[in-house]
Amino acid sequence: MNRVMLDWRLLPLPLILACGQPDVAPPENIVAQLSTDIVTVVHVTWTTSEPSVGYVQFGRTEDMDGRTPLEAEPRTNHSATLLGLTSDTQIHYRVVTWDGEDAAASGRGTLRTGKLPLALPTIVKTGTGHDSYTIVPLLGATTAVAILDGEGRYVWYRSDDRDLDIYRARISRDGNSILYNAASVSGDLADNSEIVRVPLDGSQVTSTPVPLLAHDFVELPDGTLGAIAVEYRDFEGAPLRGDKIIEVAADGTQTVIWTSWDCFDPTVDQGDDMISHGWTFANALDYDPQDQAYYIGMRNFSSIAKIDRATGACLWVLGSTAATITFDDAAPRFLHQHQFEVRGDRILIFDNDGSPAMESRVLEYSLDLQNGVANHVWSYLSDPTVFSFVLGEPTRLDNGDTLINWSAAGQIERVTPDGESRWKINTPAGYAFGFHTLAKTMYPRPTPN
Amino acid sequence: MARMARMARMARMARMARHRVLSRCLPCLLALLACIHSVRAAAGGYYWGAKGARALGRAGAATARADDFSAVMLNPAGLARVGTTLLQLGNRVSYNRQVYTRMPTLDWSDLDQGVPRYVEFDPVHNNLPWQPLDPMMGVVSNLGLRHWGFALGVQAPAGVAKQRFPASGGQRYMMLTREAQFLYYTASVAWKLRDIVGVGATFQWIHVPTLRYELVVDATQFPGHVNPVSSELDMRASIESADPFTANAILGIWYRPLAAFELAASGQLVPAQVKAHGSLRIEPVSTEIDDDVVLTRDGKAADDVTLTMPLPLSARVGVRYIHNVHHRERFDLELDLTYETWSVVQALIMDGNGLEGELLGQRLDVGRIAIDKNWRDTIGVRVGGDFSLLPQRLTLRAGISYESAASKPAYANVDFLGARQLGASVGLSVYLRGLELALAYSHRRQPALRVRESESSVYQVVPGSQCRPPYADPLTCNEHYPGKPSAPANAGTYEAAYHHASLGVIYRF
Repeated sequence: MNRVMLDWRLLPLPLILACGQPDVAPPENIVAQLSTDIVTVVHVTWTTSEPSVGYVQFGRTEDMDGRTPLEAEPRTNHSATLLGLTSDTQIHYRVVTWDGEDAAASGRGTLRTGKLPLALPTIVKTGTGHDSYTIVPLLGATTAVAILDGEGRYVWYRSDDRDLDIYRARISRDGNSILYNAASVSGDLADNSEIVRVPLDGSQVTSTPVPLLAHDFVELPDGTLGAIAVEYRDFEGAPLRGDKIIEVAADGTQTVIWTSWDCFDPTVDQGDDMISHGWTFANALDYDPQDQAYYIGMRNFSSIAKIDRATGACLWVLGSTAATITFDDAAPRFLHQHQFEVRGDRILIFDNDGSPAMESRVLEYSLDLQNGVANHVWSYLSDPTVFSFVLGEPTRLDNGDTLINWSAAGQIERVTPDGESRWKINTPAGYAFGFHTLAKTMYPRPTPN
Repeated sequence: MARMARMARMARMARMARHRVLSRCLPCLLALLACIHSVRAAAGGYYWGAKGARALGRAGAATARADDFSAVMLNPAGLARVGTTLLQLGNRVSYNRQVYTRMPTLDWSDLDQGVPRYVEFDPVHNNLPWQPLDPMMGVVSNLGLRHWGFALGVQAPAGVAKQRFPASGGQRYMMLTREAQFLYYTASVAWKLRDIVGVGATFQWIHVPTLRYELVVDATQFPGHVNPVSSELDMRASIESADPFTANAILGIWYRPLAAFELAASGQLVPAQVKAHGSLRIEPVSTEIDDDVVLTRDGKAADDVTLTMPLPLSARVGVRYIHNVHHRERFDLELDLTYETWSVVQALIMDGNGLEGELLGQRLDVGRIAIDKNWRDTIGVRVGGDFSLLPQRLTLRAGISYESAASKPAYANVDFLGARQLGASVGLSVYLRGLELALAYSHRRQPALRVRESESSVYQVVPGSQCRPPYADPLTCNEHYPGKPSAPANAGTYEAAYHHASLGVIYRF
């Protein structure tokens, strides 16, 4: 007799049918590990079954308020680098993916960052910080490039053991690397100076040799590097140390854009310390992409010039030598200045030696280019006063405060417009800061050309 | 012979007495019917399931069985077999648990260096799960005509009348609140040829005293912008309307070739749609916007809109086995199949006939808001039966049901959770002379339905969007949603469970 038998194996079928559509496939095979080069950098890799773009959400709390950049192209094997982390800190992270239509996320993981190398100087903070990262060289017993968060904590570092100094460091415009100059400006100049590129994950360091590099360099929107280098020319039978602005294209091609001799005549424009420091002694460089012009500071001239990139012509000169702009009668003058910042019709200048006492200061002028007059509008002396015989840089923050890098004194300070000091970080004695740059994020987006 | 004559006289007197009672009760019944408006019954929305404790107790498998007032909906032909006069009152209490969890998404309006925020959503619940009043009342009588049956009554179709979800919940771009009060005033007539075949018809006056719908729309007008999670210009759009009259009809037939076997069919065959007229109100969700949205048409203040809800046609067939013992029914078992043409519902359309809104100097075209449904026809299977445990004292009943999904997953929406449903029911009737007390409990469950954003076809309503089909213009449409008018709004997990308890009081004169 045939019997109708219920196949019990089919029983789960209605349950399966009842479960609806499967969830979006989450990222898989997630591996997070500390960088072998930088203990505050974490590499994360993952895979997806279908091509997707993704990023890693991470942070010190479960809110995970940081995000790595979104991958540009869909793929199945992924990686991201977590930046901006402090040392010896537990972090939370998860991977987020987007296949073009659906979002998915992995489970949450945790990882502890490593401890800083002992060679890095301890930084002491007082007051309330700011919302930017500070990329700054450290000079002294250890030569390194560091990135400090708004509270003055190390989030990235790279020691450089070559026998050269580092004066300027900045995040490259493509957001992938740190650029810095390895040079020597005191004592013998370095023929082996170069601009170094270090990926933020610490791997595969590359460099571009630029002999006789001086203090400063910039990166133009198209990635071209503009740097100050020393140039010698014969003057009255002896080599005279002048300066030039040299541009280094992405393919390594180097082009001289300007020299001291384009605007100045050593027989007329002599400045200070010509014997001990050379002639112009350029020590600071900025670039205005809108005007396509360089600003160059010259210590021995105690002057700052605006230079047309295309022609090499000096558009104006502010200062004590070869000036085309005069100071108003009550304006204090700057002397042997280093970095400065031109913002609109204002210029902030780090005045190393202009104050009557042994103290450095920051001066701000309003530039009336129509009438060729610089009017003094603001100045600041730290309390207690500090003296930075070299370097030094002021930066106006978006909220109107000013970040002042008292380089040789090992101090960076944030002050309000009315001169109230809100925040300071200090290195131990024997260390100095190089020029600084600020970044709102560790993941700057590439700047369109 | 004398004894037989005496018995016949007593029977006549009994019938006369019943008619006297009926004639006294009719004014009460009419008064009850009239005051149902003031009750503002929590009547059904787009409906499913069964009404009436006896029908509910057997999971609605009663197309052939139909032998009380619920026959006006299930199969009006069954009224011809009532053979007496009965008054039926009933109420169904429901607990409608509905949960929606929006699928995590990337918020392309909240970018950090070009990286969108990954947003997860908390589950949201229907905050009005209890539906305490869901009445049904009617009278059936053969009016002394042996082969006829007549019925008059009112009821609300089975369904969820009210829903309220949080204004900040993940479902906000689908719906905030819905209230749909439907009342069916019915008049039915049935005729039978002996106990072999019967036919019947029900005429319905569908009255919709309240049809309210609220959802959030994004008033953003920036080309290509998208706010998948929330917008500073989120607006609460509220439509409040009513439809006093829509006509409908149901025809039915049963055929009993054998004492133990019965076939039946019925159908709602008149195409109809509810066209409710009312008003539209749009107000900013953000408390930081003080300005009101001013609605105008042709430059004059106006807010009148029409909300259209098509109604399906339906067909039911049933086959019933009756097990008789000594010419009395001991138990029955019925299998019903239903087919409903929900595919007529392509969208719920609010037609503002050129209505425009103005906020902060910006004009919004709110002339038409379509909530896409794209529903499909459904099939239902119901199996149920009665078992007379103590003849004329106690009857037990039970049943199970399955209804296929009206809504495709892509069009799932919290307003009418149209996914497939499984149900089971139990019930009983206790008889005390002419009075029958019927109780039923039914549980329906909608298995979890998950909809991904890639499957979604319900999108945020963005009245100011210039993104037009095929939604590929990079200047007006968002690059992250190619081919879509705006961000998907209905991706997520839908779960529902319904508990119904029904009490019916039937008095047979």
